Amino acid sequence: MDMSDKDEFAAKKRDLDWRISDSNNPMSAPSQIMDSSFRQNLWDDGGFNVHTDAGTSFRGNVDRPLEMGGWNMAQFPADSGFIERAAKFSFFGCGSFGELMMMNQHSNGLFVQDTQKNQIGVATGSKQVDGPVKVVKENGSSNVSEDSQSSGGNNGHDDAKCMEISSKVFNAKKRKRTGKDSEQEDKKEKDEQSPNSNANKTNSGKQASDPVKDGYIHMRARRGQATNSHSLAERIRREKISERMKFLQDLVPGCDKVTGKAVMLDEIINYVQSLQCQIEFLSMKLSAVNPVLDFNLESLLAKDALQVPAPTFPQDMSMLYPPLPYFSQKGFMQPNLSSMSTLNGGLKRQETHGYESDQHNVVQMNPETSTAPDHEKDTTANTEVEP
Amino acid sequence: MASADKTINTDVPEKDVFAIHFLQSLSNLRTQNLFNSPDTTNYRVRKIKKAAYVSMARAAGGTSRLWSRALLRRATKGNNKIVRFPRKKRKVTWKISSKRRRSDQRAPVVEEAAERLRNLVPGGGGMETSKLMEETAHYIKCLSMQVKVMQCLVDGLSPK
Repeated sequence: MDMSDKDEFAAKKRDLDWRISDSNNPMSAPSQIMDSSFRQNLWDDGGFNVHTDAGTSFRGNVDRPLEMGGWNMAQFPADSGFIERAAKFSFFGCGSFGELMMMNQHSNGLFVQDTQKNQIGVATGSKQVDGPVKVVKENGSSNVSEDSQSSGGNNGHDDAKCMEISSKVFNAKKRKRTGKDSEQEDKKEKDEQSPNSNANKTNSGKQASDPVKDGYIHMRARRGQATNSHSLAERIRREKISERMKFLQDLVPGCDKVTGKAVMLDEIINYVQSLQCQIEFLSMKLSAVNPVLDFNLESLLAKDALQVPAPTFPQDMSMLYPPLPYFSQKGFMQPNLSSMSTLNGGLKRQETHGYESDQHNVVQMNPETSTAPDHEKDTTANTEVEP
Repeated sequence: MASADKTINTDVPEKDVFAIHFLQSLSNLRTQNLFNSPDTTNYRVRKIKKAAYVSMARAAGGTSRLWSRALLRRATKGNNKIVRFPRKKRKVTWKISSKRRRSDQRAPVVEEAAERLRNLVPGGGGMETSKLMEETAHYIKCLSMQVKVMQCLVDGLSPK
């Protein structure tokens, strides 16, 4: 009897006009409604791209049995054949449904979500379900069931089992769907690992919220996809920003000890401001210096060249940075005048360390320029630095 | 042009490049016969400062960097015979507004600081926070380089 029923169903599955109700359903109206939705679900068999249409319609359908939960229970006759069929393809029966969905999980994702919903208000499948369910498994067809709340003989204790099973299925489903998300995201060149971890996260999240949201599973599924990509994007953005912050930390002197984004950002802002102030101050100095000397481009370049190739200054490099950034303009003046030479030496020293290629360039430049002024300036510079 | 960081490229040209650019701009200023003639030193100072920034922007990469491009654009508002800006599709404006709306929700701590940074770094107004930090890094490097050049100049030119 079971096998024959199933053969019937398997055959009729391909027929779009198939109605389970035709076979032997005493309940015409509600089952027809559900059957139409089931029919759509059959179309989706094997692929879950048609979430939305079937989903929404299905949601509408699923709502009703929940509303009519008690009524269904009352109305379904304990027809043995009916019970068996209902048990096999028990869409609204919890206990069998979970197992059923485990078998059929490859076929239609919509079913899974509905189990989640169904188990809420619906009486669970009975133990008698187990037998036919296994048979169905061999078939491997996702068949539709009528309202099988008649199977709800033993309610209480299949519930837990049902929850577990369906949640497991849901997990598997979720993993697959987030796998699909990850495809989309890989196109956007995102992390490969993050979809997995995100899937785990959303799995637990969805499980927690499952019993709460009645009738919105499909909306939630789509929202789930959206939040997946959004949270992924958020996380990637966060990582980008922290990576750049680390880079900036290396740039700004004195930011090693500082931890935390806010303080570091303040430091960075202060540093940029101080650099800009320095430029302004130096330009003021230059404007004061300018009218004194003529601008001879080559000689000036030679002067710059002179700065570099003097590697024997035992100046402390670290003294350069702490004074420079945080002096106010006035404060800069006095120590500058007194420690002009040391700053100069420090600058030179730092230049040699920082820009070794500079050295090469400058050394090349040296012979090009005239030698006489170089020597003079050399001596002056040297006497300046060596106290 | 690979720097230490693989993804972020903040390479800055050598000091020489900055020096040459700055000296050229200064000599241009000189040929304009500004010195000894303008009324206030303030005017001279501003001119020199502007020359410093423009030369820095040029040395740092011209129009290939967002901040330098914004700087140059700001500097040559009226008469643009100096810089040639590559034509870029201006779809950016719509994206900027949408990004800004979302960035307000994201970690307000970071966003406040980013706002202040935007005021400091030229051209920061139209950038997302991550891009802003890249530009800030490059800007800091260029600024420090320019400071060094100017310091050397001042030291070299100051009377002994």
